[in-house]
Order: sequence, then C-alpha cells, then structure tokens
Amino acid sequence: MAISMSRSVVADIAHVAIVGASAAGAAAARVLRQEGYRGRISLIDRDPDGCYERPPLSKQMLLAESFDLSAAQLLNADECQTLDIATYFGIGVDDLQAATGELILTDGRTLHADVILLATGGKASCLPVPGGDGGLVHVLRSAADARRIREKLEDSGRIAVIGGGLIGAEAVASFLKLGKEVCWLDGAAQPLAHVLPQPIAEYLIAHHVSAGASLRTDVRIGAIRDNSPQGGVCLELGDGERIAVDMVVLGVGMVPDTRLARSAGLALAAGAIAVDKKQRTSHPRIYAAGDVASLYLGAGTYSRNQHWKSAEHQGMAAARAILGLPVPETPIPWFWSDQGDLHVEMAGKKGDETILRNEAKGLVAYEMKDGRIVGAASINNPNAVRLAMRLIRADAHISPTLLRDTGFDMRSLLRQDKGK
Amino acid sequence: MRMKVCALDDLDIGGAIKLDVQPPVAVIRGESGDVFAIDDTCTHADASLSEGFVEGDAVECPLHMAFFCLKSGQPSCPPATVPVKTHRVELIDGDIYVEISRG
Ligand SMILES: Cc1cc2nc3c(=O)[nH]c(=O)nc-3n(C[C@H](O)[C@H](O)[C@H](O)COP(=O)(O)OP(=O)(O)OC[C@H]3O[C@@H](n4cnc5c(N)ncnc54)[C@H](O)[C@@H]3O)c2cc1C
Ligand code: FES
Repeated sequence: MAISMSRSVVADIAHVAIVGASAAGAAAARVLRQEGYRGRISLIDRDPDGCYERPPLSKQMLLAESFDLSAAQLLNADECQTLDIATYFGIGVDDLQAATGELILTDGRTLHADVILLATGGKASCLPVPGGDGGLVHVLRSAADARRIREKLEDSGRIAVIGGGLIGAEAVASFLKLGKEVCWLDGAAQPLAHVLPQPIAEYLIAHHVSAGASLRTDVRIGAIRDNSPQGGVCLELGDGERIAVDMVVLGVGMVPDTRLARSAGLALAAGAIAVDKKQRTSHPRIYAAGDVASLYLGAGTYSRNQHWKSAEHQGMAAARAILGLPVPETPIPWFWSDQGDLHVEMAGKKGDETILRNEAKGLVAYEMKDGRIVGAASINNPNAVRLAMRLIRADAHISPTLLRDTGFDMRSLLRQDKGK
Repeated sequence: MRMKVCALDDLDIGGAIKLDVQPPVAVIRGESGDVFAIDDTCTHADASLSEGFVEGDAVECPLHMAFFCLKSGQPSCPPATVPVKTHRVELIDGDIYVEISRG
C-alpha cells in the first residue's frame, strides 16, 4: 500500500532541483536515487569546488602538507554520473519563482523543477566594525577560504583568531600545531561555554592556553586596520589597545542564507526557513534542509542545528518526504570537533547541572535536568557520548553518584532499560 | 588465512580488537555475546569500526554514525550504503579464530 502510494507521487515528479551541494543537498540527492526515484535530479552550487565536506577545512585542510580536496569529496564526478545527477557547480541560483518552479541561474539559464530543495546553508558572519568584513580578515566556510588562509600561512608567524566558537577553537588548535603564535580573542567571558558543558570548555581552553595560545576574553574589537607601513593587520580594541598580527581569522558564527527563500516568499523562523519534520516549507513545492532550516518542534518552538549530522539527516529526510516515504525520527543533536589532538563530541543539550565522570579513556560530562541525562560531552572518549545518546533517548533516570562512579558499568543501564 | 585473535574471555561484550592485516579487520563481541569479524574500515569514509559503539549485534561508525549489522555487514542507517565484508569466526577451546577471506 505504502509503496504504491509513493509510486504514484513519484510519477508526478519529473524534476527535483537541489540548491546547495553540501551535507544536506548531497545526502538528499543520494537518497532520492537510493529510494528508487528515476526522474531528473539537478544539483546546483555556486561554489566552483562543488560537493565537499566542510569539517576538514578547519582541521586536516589547514594542517595537511598540500591542499587536496578530493579526500573531502561528498559526491565525486563518477558517483554523480552513476547516480545520474546533473551537476551545476560554479553556477548560482539567482532567483526562485515558487509558483512556476523556475530557477533562474547566474549563467542566464532557467531550470523548471517540480520540487525544489533549498539546502543553501549559511555564510560566515563578519564583524560589524570598520575593516571587519573586507580583505583584512579571513573567514572559514568554504574551500576557497581555507585555500586563502593557507596561502598566507607561510608569511604569518602571528595570527589572531577572533571568536570562541567551535570553528574558532579548531583554528586556534590547528595554528598552534603549525607552530604559530596565536592570539585568541573572544567577546564572551569564556570561549566554548555556550556550546559545551562548562568543564569540557574549561578543559579545552586550558589545553590550548598551555599549548601557547594567548587568550583574551570579554574583548570588544573597535576596528581592524591595515598596519602600514610595518605590514600586517592591526586590531584596535575598545579600550584603545592595539594588537599587531600578520593575519586575522574570524570565527564569529554564521548566518543562514535565506536569500532565495525570501524571494520565494517562504515563511522564516529564528532567521532560517521554517520547516516541519518532513522538511516542508510554507510552499508545497519547496523543501528546505540543513543549516538554512529551522525545524518546528511544536508548541511554538523551533530548533536550529548547525552541525554536520543534522544537515545530513535533514537532507535524507527531505528526499524521503519528497518521495512520500516515511521520515525517520529526528535524531538527538550531535556534533564532533577536533581540536589539535583532542576529539570532542557532544550530544543533546545543556541541563541544570553537570556531572563529571573521569573515565580512563577520557573525561565525560553529563548534563542533567530533573534527574535525567539530557546531554553529554566527552574528550577523546566518543563511545561514552554514543552510550549517553541512548540513555537520553530512553529518558533514563540515573543517580549522579552512579554516573561519577567509574567502577560502575554504564552499559548495564542500557540493558536495564531494554529489560523494561 | 586463519588467524588466532585472543581468548574469548579476554574480549568483553561491546569490545573490539583491530587485526593489523591489509585491509584491517575488526573482531567485535556483540551484546549477545557472539563474536564477529568484519572489515575494519567503514565503507563511507575513513574510520575504524573497531572504535565504534556496539549496540545489540551491530556497530555504529565512530565518524558519521552509519550502523552496520555485525552478522551480515549490511548498513541499516546512512550515510553508508555499501556493506562491509564479513569474515568467519570460529571458537576453538575458548580461543577466537578468524578466517580472513579476500577477493
Ligand atoms: C570550517 C567548518 C568546520 C566544521 N566542522 C564541523 C565539525 O567538526 N562537526 C560538525 O558536526 N559540524 C561541523 N561544521 C558544520 C557543518 O559543516 C555544517 O553544519 C554543514 O556544512 C551544513 O550543511 P548544509 O548542506 O546545510 O549547508 P552548507 O554546508 O552551508 O552548504 C550550502 C551550500 O549552498 C550553496 N548555495 C547557497 N546559496 C546558493 C545559491 N543561491 N545558488 C547556488 N548555491 C548556493 C553554497 O555555495 C554552499 O555550498 C563545520 C563547518 C565549517 C564551516
Ligand atoms: S565514515 Fe563511517 S559513516 Fe562516515
């Protein structure tokens, strides 16, 4: 029954156009074919580097001897050919007409699609100060950005990283590994504490500082200027202090790229495209997935999740929804971050209380709310987080004493839960 | 090629041992207590399944969370789509042996 229904729906869809060939868009294209869709698939991305992973850009791609994007390909040319996916790389979508399904491309062509998936992600934010958005600063969102940073690395002994988020911290760790002098500036009182449990943030900060980062918190940047004639760049802080460096890298967040959504008149929420669990936007022809989407959780709340796994899941879910197939449950939010030699993972959300467990493999922090685990993060101990994800899903009640007790076998909690 | 891995008692439930053959093989003890051997490298990208989290008789890839059945090697959740190769495991006198099949 379900199968015949989905077939009839699929028969009406001759052409799916996917805008954005990153984690969400690539997953969608792949899953459409895997699920047997035989119509036309167009995968469009204005990035001339095409379809690649962003996570390595702040890690392996900064550290590797040579810049080889082929190792980070999401869908390579052969796969696109095998899967019969028509790619338009280096070509942007300039305008989107929801009513007719027309996509106007930057090279003048027009595509007509029955269904459109917006997987347009986001752009790196700039600093709203003089010099904060021009050639004096580097952001890190695309392969071109990473290449540009690499080209300057050799002549940059002293680098300022502005921003205490994950990408800022990863850049700091990578530059330290390369033997650079790193000045890490954050507008907040403590880097990373907004995304990770407090003790995990503290552990990472201490690690980077002991590796040589000079950290400045609660910093207000007044302006960024060309440091002629000495060369390099000069940061002017709010209190008048000046810091001279050879390169400035910004990791101050991202803004969802909603330009097409706005021109198509789609409803937005929390600055991104409002979607339901089937990734449907306010227009029946258009779906959205990934960093550009704001997922409706019910009761007036939305969640925005700017991490790889969520983008991939939403791309997959969109493809299934387009084909009329059931969409799997929304996974517990999860991300990883590699900072130098430290592998960090976090699942779920922050709670009211943090419980630490000092496992031999690596530190684990559990975020608790009302006696239940709602989040967990670890350092060099990913399986502790994977186990915690199962406990979060099971909404398990656990005593903090047991959590702290490293003699206690955490796996037994899963078995108990299954026994219920 | 047959290889002796270790004593069954030395491999905990949910535990894994990576065999340094080419390509590497992961010997993993599922929650049922049974021991399985699969190719260690995830079919999606470069990650070692011996480092993955074991649930039931399946393993979750440490990198992007594809989930592989230890018995059949089939992935049950994206992003992996290609099964990992499985190898035959034998228990002889309390020791684990793996028959590594290639080709
Ligand atoms: C440096 C870096 C490191 C990261 N590290 C991690 C990590 O370790 N772990 C983790 O979980 N997450 C990480 N992330 C986050 C993760 O990469 C993102 O969540 C993910 O890329 C989001 O995928 P997406 O498909 O939604 O959008 P994006 O990756 O933003 O891709 C959107 C694409 O749409 C294209 N596009 C937009 N508008 C148009 C248009 N009008 N026409 C044509 N094309 C268009 C863009 O060119 C872009 O390629 C990292 C991100 C960055 C930048
Ligand atoms: S490497 Fe295993 S799922 Fe990606």
